Amino acid sequence: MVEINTIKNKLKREELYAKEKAAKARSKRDRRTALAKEESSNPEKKEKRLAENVPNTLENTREFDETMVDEDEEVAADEATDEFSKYFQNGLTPKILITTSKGPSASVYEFATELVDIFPNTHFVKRKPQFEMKHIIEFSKNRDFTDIMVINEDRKEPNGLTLIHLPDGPTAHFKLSSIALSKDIEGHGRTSSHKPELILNNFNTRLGHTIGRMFTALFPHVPEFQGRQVATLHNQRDFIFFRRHRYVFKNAKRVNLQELGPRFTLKLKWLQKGTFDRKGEHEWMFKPEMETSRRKFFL
Amino acid sequence: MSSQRFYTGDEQGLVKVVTITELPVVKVKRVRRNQPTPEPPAKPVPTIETWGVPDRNKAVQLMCWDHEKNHLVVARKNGVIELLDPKDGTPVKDFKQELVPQEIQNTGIKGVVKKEDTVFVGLFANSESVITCTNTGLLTVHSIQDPSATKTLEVGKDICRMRVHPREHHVVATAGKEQEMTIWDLKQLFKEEETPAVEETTTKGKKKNGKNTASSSKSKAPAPAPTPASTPAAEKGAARYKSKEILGNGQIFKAKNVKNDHLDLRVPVWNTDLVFLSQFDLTRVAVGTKHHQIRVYDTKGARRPAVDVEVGDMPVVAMTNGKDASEVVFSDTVTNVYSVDTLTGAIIGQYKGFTGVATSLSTFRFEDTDTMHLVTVALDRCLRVHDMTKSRKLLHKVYLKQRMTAVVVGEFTPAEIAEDEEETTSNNKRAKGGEDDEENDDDLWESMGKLEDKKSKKRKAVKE
Repeated sequence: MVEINTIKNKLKREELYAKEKAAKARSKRDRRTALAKEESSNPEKKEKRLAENVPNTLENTREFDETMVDEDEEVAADEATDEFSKYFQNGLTPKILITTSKGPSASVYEFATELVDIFPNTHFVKRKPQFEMKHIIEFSKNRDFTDIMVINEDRKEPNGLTLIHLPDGPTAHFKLSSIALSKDIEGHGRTSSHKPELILNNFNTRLGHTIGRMFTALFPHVPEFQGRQVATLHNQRDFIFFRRHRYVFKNAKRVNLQELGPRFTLKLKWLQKGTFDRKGEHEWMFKPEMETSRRKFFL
Repeated sequence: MSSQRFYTGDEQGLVKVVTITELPVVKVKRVRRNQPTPEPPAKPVPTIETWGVPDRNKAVQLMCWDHEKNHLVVARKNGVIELLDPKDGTPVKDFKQELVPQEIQNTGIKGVVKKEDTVFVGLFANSESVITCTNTGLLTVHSIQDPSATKTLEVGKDICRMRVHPREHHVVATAGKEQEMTIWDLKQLFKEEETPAVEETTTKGKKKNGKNTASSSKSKAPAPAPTPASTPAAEKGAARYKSKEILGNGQIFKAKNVKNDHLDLRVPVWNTDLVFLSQFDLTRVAVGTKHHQIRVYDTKGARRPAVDVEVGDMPVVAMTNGKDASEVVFSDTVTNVYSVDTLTGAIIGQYKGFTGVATSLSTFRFEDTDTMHLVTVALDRCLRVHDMTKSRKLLHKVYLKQRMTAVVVGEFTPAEIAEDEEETTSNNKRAKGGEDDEENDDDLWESMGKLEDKKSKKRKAVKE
């Protein structure tokens, strides 16, 4: 057998390459059809194959993290009495204040409108330049708010979200990216004012738990199922993806999803103990030097 | 295998005992090229023992040892100071201190009154007494033998840290928000305060008790508290001040604010932590501030700091002594830990690996080696041990499940005896010499000499 790449004639070489490629594709197709036929008659085989054939991904080969939470009495006792216990234990209804950085631009207002739409019992307040965050926190405490959301912007685009849990903190700051407002999503549905259901994915470490609890405490306890709206916060490789859908029952068997929007992505930059203070103590802070490996995740 | 214990306190009021085992240092044998290097032996997993039940009201705020490490002293959020047995954590004795929440008028907004918790900012214990200080400025001396005999002293409001000199236990330094660093002489103070009759009885009782404990525990004499040396020094210090009103009752030294800035505005004072630089002299004290400065005061010299430097741009949270008297280690609010030279004020280096604020720092020496180590606990729920040599390497990291607030260094257990025996036998062999040596020589010759054979074989192969 002559190596194809040693053939001098270009036309001949091309022809042989094409033939070889076609043969390969044919054999692959044949193999797959044979496999499909076999598996259609024997579905167990398919299940077995799918169970065995798990590709390696960054997530399933992530570096060992000792702070991973699975049923630990001590951690449970800690969480039972932490800053969110008023929501989880006493069933407090969240009341959220949304505001912006000073001198906001139009795009920030648009994004804020979307946020108001997502979280029930939210109040948007225009940021007045004479009030510092410290004051706003005090005012909100006096008015029984449970959380403050501050949208930050850079070059007239929202780029950061600070989440302050009241009255005792903690404060989390996220980088905000990949924003798609509802109107930009093709085929998006109209939202209703029902309380949404909440899906939180992959908040598994001790830090992730805290962040997950923080997001949970933004939504009322009992969703209104007739609204069929679901808000999802999906953590993948430390990026938190927000999506909102409505499920639509096609018939007794099929369910369709209709996206409502907006979409945005959050990445935790720091978590501070207590309410926001520029000089406050940080419980966790991202530093570039912590990225020692592509398989190291913190949430 | 030698092991080192640490005692940590956290926000849930648990005291944890962390035992870190160090493997004996084994010299790695030289490995030939193309051969895999032998894997280093796995690090032993640190053991963690937990004392107490989770209760946020009992959150540990400060911890320290009493004299000779007989008891572990723990100051809690609910105002209880407990003396724990370091073997099993049973409370031996406790003191209760009423901590009334303090009402703070927030000047930022009109009419906002904030209630702030009173917290312990200083804790110290020796064989006779436990000294505590709260942020309201109440310095209390509890007598261990006689719980009713407590003496209190007002040291000013908004105190951020009180520390007792490690050797001269009657010398106390305080500093805080708008509170300049002040050094107090408790001995002189309480002598003046008390009426003669009462004083006599209490001091006598105290002395007796002190003697009893010393004899019963068969320990070394308690740390000396030389009266003649201290009081003249205090007087001398007082004499230096032009107007005597500056120095209050029992104060040895009171710092003076740094000069106005380039706009001729007063520089605000907010000291967050302080350390006595040396246990052998009383004169040098380093202070860390909320405005990210490290100041070193020399009480023999001026009232203004001898060294005043800006370090980083975030407030200092905690400080501790470094390798020697010329170094301090501090942590800031954005999770950095630096070591600073107190003579020049330069940052010598940074300890890496922190993801949360280090709330408590301490240094210790592995007793079999000469190197110092830094142990820290942080809000990211970890205890870390760093090497204090030039590498500043992270040696151990232990996840402790809680936001940690305090750490003290416990006892060191030396390596097992078996290894020592081996060493001694080998030493003996060496000492014997003579015949043994010859045998060793033979072994040596046998192990050598194969190199030539190989070469010749190779040559032969080539020729063929």
